[in-house]
Amino acid sequence: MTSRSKNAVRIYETEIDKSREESNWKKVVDLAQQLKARSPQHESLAHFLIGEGKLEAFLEEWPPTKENIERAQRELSEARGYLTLATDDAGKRAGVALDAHLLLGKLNYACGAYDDALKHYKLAELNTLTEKELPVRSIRIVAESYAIKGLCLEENAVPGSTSRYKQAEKEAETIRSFELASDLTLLYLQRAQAAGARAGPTLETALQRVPILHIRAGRLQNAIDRYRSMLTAVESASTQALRLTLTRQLAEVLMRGVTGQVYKAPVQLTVVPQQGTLTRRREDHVSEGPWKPKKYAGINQFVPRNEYEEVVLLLLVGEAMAVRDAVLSQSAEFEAARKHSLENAVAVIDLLALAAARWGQLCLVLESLERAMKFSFGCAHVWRQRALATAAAAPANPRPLHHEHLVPGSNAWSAGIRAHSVMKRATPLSPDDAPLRLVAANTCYNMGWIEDGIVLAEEALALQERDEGPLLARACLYAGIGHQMKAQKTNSRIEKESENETSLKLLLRSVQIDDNDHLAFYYLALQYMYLGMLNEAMDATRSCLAARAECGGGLRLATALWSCACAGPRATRALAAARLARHHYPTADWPLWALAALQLTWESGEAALATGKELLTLLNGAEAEAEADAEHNGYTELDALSDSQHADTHSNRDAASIRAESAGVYRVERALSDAASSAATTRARHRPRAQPRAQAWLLLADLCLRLGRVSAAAGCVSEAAALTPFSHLVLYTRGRVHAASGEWEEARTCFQNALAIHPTHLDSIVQLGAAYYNLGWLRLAEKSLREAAALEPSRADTWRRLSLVLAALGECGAAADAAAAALHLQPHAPSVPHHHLPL
Amino acid sequence: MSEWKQLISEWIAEYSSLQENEIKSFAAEHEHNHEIATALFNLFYCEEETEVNSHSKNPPENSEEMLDQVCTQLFSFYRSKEVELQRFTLQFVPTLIYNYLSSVARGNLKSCRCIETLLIGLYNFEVVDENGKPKVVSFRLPSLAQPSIYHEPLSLGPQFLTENALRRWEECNTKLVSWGPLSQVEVINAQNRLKVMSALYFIYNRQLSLLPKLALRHFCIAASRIVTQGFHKKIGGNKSTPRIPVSPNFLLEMIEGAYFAMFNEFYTLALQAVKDIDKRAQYELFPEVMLVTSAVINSLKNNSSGQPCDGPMGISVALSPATTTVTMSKSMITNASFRTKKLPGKMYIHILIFFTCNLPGFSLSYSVFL
Repeated sequence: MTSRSKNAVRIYETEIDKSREESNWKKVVDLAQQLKARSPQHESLAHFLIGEGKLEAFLEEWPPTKENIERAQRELSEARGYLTLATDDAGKRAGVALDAHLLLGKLNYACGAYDDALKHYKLAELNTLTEKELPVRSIRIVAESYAIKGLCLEENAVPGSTSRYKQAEKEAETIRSFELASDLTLLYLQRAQAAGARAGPTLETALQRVPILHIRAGRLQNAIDRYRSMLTAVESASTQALRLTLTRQLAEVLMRGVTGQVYKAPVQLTVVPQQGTLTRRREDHVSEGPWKPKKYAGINQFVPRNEYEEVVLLLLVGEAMAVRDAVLSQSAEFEAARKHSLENAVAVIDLLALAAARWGQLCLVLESLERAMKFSFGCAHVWRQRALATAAAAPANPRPLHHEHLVPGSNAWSAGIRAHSVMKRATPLSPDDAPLRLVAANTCYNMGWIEDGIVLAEEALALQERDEGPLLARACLYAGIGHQMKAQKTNSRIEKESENETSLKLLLRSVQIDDNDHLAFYYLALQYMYLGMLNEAMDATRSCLAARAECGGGLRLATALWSCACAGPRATRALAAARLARHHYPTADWPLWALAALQLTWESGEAALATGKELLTLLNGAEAEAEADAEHNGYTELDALSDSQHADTHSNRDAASIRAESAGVYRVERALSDAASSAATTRARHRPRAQPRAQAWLLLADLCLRLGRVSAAAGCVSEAAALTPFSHLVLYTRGRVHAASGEWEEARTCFQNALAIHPTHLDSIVQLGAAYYNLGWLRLAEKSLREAAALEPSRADTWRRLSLVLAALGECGAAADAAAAALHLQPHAPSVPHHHLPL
Repeated sequence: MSEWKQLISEWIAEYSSLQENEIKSFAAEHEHNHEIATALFNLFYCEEETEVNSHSKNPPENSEEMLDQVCTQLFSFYRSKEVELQRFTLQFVPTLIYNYLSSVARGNLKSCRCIETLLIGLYNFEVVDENGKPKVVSFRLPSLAQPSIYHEPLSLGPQFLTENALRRWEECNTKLVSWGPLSQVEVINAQNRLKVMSALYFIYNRQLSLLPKLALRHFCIAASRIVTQGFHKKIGGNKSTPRIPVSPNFLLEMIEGAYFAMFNEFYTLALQAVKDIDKRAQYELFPEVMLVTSAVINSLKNNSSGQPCDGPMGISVALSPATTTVTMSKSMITNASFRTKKLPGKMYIHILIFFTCNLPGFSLSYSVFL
């Protein structure tokens, strides 16, 4: 042979190798035919290549599945011929016979001849192949051979139930084949990175099959180990989709099968520094053998220690992969791919929601859902989930003057804004979703956006009416709550009346549809109380407590109602209700407030003082607890809605101090204390729960005042002032202390200061009137009291004082009218002093 | 009916006559004693039914007495050092919780005092470790910014190196996500009742994979009953049963167990339980619970996730779709091949969109002026 032709052969060989690696089978066949023509001594090689090319070209179009068996039998005879030719003695000498047998195995598998395939693998000595470095194409052939061997063994396992031992042996063999196949596949995909290689259905099946076989046989740990060993292999461009599937599957297996003690944490690969290399640099990827894929081995790796860590890690990694591969193209040709990628991402996010919500880690879910916005294009589920997650992050119950304030700019405020704006997008996407709208309405109510809330609740009501849905009663209830809040908020009489009427109608309808809903009865009772219909309110409260005996709100209402003046001697029942509430909710503060106030009137002052002190201890002790609670975002303290949505359940007064105004009060107070604290640095201004503790001191001050211990009261006020120096309540109580010792000038200043902070604080207005009266400034007194009466006409005390003032002015007729009004209203006045109730 | 009562009496007698050294073998054979477990489940359900007909003439005295004895024995199982016996007791917890909550809601506290005592006992036993210190179950929150055995941050693309991810990495070892520490309780009242019950569910959920399968069945039944009691009016009955109060965490723990049961032989019952929980969450307006229930329900519809019918644990071979051929993926824009960049400008916002294609050396870049 001339050197020229030798060269030519070499060129052919490199060309062919390149084409084989690129899976360019047509070119391989062409080149092999040319090779065969030019150099007859390479005939076996050429035969092998032609057979290979034809086989692979066919399988690329018709993958080896059951449906394609017949076609394969028809069309693969040519390839079979060539490959069989390559297995003869010449082929053995040329070193292609074994490879040809491997391919014949694959061919037979495609034709459905599983036994023949296994025979060829035996001839190819597949079992005894040594693990050594192989060229890329050979890795694939060997990998496929193992995969197909496993698949054939599985196919044959069905009828042959000879002996248990044999079957177990066969199963072990199957799994070993699949395991080798999957390692080799990953290795192949890592090596063949540049060529854009794909694993193909056979190899992918082998990869995913192993863990399933383990699970089926009850060897969960082996399955998990297998998943781990596949997932710790370094990612390459062509393993991305596969890794996403495996990641999700491992997370699923862990969530569905592994809890607590069963779990075994993965071990980190110990990296053995390579001998003889000059560089000391640590490798980021290591391989355990020539047939093993490279694995992650960077320094400072996160290695899960328990199932929660591993599940969350897997889901986060999975979500990141799903998001990375998400299809953004909107055109129709990519619709299927887009849908598939979206489903992949949503599947992972759903699992993440399940795994994270339980631990209060909604932020993780929210982040994922926000990333999904980029490619989910109006997917109702994703938007709904996001709306729910943001709603869960929004402030749960409005306690305007308690913990955190809903002032623009605060975290709670922006969370509320976010929930609302996401909800605005999400609701149109789920046009029939009433619960979602109710959640939205609730968020609005909590944020104080009553009108928006009413709109949403009424939408939900309309939907439920149309579908006769199970939430009809609740939709009525939430719409009713909205109107009730609006009635409380507005200062316009006409609007107030119409809102009250709508609310009452809705609430009545709600309890009519569902007579087992304590919350509906509670709000109905509240509504009756606002309207001054105390007997009806009592009936509704009874129904509320019948539906839920321990309902905090119901007990509170019962306490308030029994304590009303018209209840007369039955006030012991109020005491009993307060004590019962105390028993059910031992660490809540409101039963003690009520109890102290009631004891003062109906038992002894000493008992009331004792209760007040108890309250103070409770609040001081609660401090640590509340902090601990807040940290692992624990449970809502009481029945969330019924007890906190309307914190001032007692009063039919003070409707004037609406939410917006109390927020304003807060801001003024805050600004004042900020200014003060810049001067006096030791001021404990951001102490937790300073507010309720200050109010407890004020309660004590009030009790002392009523018992005539003025100096003790002054001490209590200064304690409260140390906690919240610029609270209008502190100033108001200080004014009352001054008034009690007859220092009317000082008292007047105090009340005026209180009103400067909270212009509609009713008690301060009335007391200011009293101060003017005692100072002899009768016209000013009348003006103050008339102002108070305009703000809250149903308060008896105002009219009583007004009649005194008017009498002193000599306007007897007007005085008589005012006195009559006072007499008329007196039965409704609760003896529980409300100004100490936390707002 | 009397058959299982007989069985229970024998079981009580057998245990009380055990010698110290026999307990181990007793425990070993006990764990999978379905007969006695079934008998006990019967007792708890029967207990509940007699409550419904509490006006019936002869109150089953001996049944109540038996319940008392059973509770005592279950608690002494729990206090024994044998894990098998502890697990045996644990399998009844959801049913007991249902029984207890249902009685409380009906205002029938007297009848369930012994169950209450048992539950308090279990709770107090579990919230502290061997040394009497409060128990904490905690884990580190992984961050994608830190390399792990499953990924490298850079290969996921820069969009995951967010501020949050980096912060989480920083706090990874210091700020743990945890359950507990919980304080022991002396009495259960309205305020702590659901906290205690959620904690018990949490404890139960940690053992899910070790419990006998039968227990999962009763878990689902109990879960459904807890959330639906008082919602369906009985025909003819004029007085409806009070509903059982629930809290978000309580329901979340319940979903956890139901999800597990769904993939461990009790698909139908567990799915029903999740749907019931979903309805209840909507009724109570618990957005976080609705989030999880709809995630679970959606994942059962979504073909991408493993379905219960797909084989063991719902895991099946999911091949990547053949549609994404190489030619197609070249022109398809995915998140990975899409970049936006905002450049500062007074008049225009320049948005540069790079379509980087999969082939190396072949990349187009457009710049669009908006």
